[in-house]
Formats: sequence, C-alpha cells, structure tokens
Amino acid sequence: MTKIIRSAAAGVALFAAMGLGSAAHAQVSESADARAEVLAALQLTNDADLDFGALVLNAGSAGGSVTVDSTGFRDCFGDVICGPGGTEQASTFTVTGAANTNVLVSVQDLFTNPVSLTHTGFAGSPNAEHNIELTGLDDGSFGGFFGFSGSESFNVGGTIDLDGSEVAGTYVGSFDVTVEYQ
Amino acid sequence: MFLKSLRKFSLVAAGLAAFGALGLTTPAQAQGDLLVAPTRVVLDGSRGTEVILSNIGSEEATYRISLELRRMTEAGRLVPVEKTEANGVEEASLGMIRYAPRRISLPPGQPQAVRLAARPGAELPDGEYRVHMSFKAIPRPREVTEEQTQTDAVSFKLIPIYGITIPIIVRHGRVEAQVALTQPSIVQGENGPELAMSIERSGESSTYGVLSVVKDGLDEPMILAGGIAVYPEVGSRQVRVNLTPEQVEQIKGPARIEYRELPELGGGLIAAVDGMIG
Repeated sequence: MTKIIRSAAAGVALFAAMGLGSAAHAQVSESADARAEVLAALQLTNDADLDFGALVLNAGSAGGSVTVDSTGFRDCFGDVICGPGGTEQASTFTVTGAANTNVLVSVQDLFTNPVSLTHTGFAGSPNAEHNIELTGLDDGSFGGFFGFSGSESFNVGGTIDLDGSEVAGTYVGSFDVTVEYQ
Repeated sequence: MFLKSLRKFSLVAAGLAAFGALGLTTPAQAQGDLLVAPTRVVLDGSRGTEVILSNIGSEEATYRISLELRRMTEAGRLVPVEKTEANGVEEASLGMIRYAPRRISLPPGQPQAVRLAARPGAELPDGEYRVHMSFKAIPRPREVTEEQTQTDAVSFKLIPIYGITIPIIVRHGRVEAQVALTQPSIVQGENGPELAMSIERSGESSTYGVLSVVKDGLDEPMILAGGIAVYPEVGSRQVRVNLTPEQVEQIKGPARIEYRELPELGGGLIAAVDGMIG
C-alpha cells in the first residue's frame, strides 16, 4: 500500500514555543490561555573516563599494546605487562531523551582519522618516542539504540599501541563520541 | 552529573620494581555534558527557528556548533561524509543554512539559543536539503599538575570529545515521497526473535514516523519503533525490531503494520501493509 505525502503541509509550526525537556507547565486563567509546547530534548553526559590502569614496561621493550574493552576487561600484549588491576575501566556515557526513538552512537573512525597521544612536553612532535597510537575504540552500544528506552548508558573501550621507545611523561589525545538523532 | 577525571595509566619504566606501577589520580573535571532541544528541525519557508543548548555539567564549558554531512545507509545508519566529498545537494545544503552563534561558553546549568534559518538561492531546484548540526564541547587546556611532571612514569590522558548531532531539514518548493512497506517476517536475530521488514521510499522528501502493529485482539496499536527516518538518499531502509516472546505470540497471524507520522504532527498514515506474520 502506498500513500503520497505532501511535505509542504507536514512539518510546519513545529516550534510554537520553546521549552526545555522538562514537564510542561500549562497555565490557564480565566482571561487568557497560555500555551507551552514541550520539545523533545536529548542529553549526553560522560560519567567515567577510559582508564588503562597501571602498566609495566620492560627494559629494552619491543613494545606491545593494552586493551580495555567496552565491558572494562583489560588485556596486555607483547612487552606491555598489565600491572595490578582494579583501576582500569571503559569510559561511560549516558544518553537521555524521548523513549521509543532511534538514537545512533558513533565513535571516531580511526582508519580515516587516526589518533595519536602526544607527549605534553613535545606537542606536535612527529617522533615515535613522543607519540602513542590509539589503534582501536570499542563501542559497547554497537552503533546505538534502535528501541531507545529513554535513558541508556554505554561504554567505550580502547586499545593503545606502545613501541617501547616512549619517554616518560604525560601523553594526551582525544577521540570523538557522537550521539546522533535522525 | 559528576564525572571522573581523565586519568589514564601510569607506566613504570624498567629499573623500578616490577610491580611498582603507580595508579595516578587527578582531580575530577566535569566538562562538556550537554542537552540539546529540539532533536530534529524541519524548515520550510524563510522563517527561522532556534535550538537550545544547555550546559548540564558541573563546570563551565565551551561548545562548538558546526554543520556536518551524513548519508543514510539501507541499514538505517548515518555515515559521515567529508565536506570535500560532498555532492551537489550536500554542498547546497551547507551553503544555505545560516546560524549563530558558532561557539558558546556556558556556566553550569545555563542554556542558550542557537538561531538558525535557511536561505536557499533563487535558482535552487525544489527538493529536500539536509545537514546535521553538531554540538560538541571543546576540551579546555589542562593545567600540568605536579603528578604529571614526575619523570619516572608515563601517564596517559584520553579525552573524549563528545556531542550530539541533530538533523536540520530544509524542504524547498514542492517535495513529495511515495512510501510502501514490505511484508514483515519474524526472523531469528542475534538477541532473539526480530521483526524484519523494509520501508521503500521514492521521491524527493524524507519520511519520519512510528512503526506499529494493529490487529484484532490488541486493544491499542503495539509500537514497534519510533523515530524511524528514511532519507532521500536511500530508496529502501531495512528495519529490524527485537521482540519479546510475548510480542511474537501477539503479533503472529494476520496483522497490519502501519508507518505513521509522529502523534504531535497529526499522526497521519504514511504507509501500511496487511499480511500474515509468522
């Protein structure tokens, strides 16, 4: 069965009034009608940060990698040794909005937009000893929430590769997490 | 919302005791949480509108508002498109949206409106034009603390830059869509039974609405999925909805699937299909 939609008629007058996504307060008095339209809102909070916990790197290390997956499980490979556990965790986000909608989640595509964590003392340095590559992001929402319940939390894990040459200090990098409404 | 700070790991170089690894802690920094309303904007005509951005974090934050491009896939995903790879319709879409401000600093709990309007050129062909407006916090430069300057360890900070995108849809001139639904079937998905079907769409306009099941024995339509968009770049969008065992029993047999506009927009029927589900 098919129906033609004339969109010129649909979709106008969406926003008669602005209000944030809290309860409507429709005030009615004898002399005047007041009107309020509640807009659907979407909110996103970052509740926990990606933490690889304590690691140990051998002398003369050939490098290796460490992964914290979206469930918070950590694994170390190569010459990177996982130190005492307990502090490692995946980053956690909470998205809140209207129930029964379709909310998509995307994390940065590292293939087209690679991320390097760079030593804070050598910003912009291309040298291997000042850079650590973020090689993976693990989206625990698997792309989002088709039947969105109104509030969902999801985790994002990650993998970094060390080549063993890194000098001591603080390395900073960032990655994108986007919640998309369609 | 309280957030923990970006503390990564400490890595102890050789020469220290094997398990002398340190876990560093840094002060909490809550920055960048946000609320956006509404979650979808349709502009037709020259009248503009506003989108509200609010800082729901516990610290002042600066947000960048930008326009991005997405293309829908048949699976219903939105795939980012670089501006250098934009096609003609996408370039025209980017060119016609006026908005301000593009950068907002907000103290906690403070909302601000972003004004936007479409200014389609006189020569522009009728059609639907769309961009996705992105709201993202800009990470603030962090102070180097005493812990971070210690020389015997490596620590990492992975800062999430997180945000929300919403579609901004411009309908220019006369646009239409023809929509049909395919026969639904119940299939076994990764997480149990799923109702699988697709929405077939043609014409210049996108559609947006709610999928529901209507049948004898159900007092009210059973909502399968809300907020299903089918954008003009796809002619067919697959829909798969997880079902509980009870829902499977309720749906089986002769039933009617309806795709309707949102109730707040009148709830008009877009398309429907009658069939035997099983």
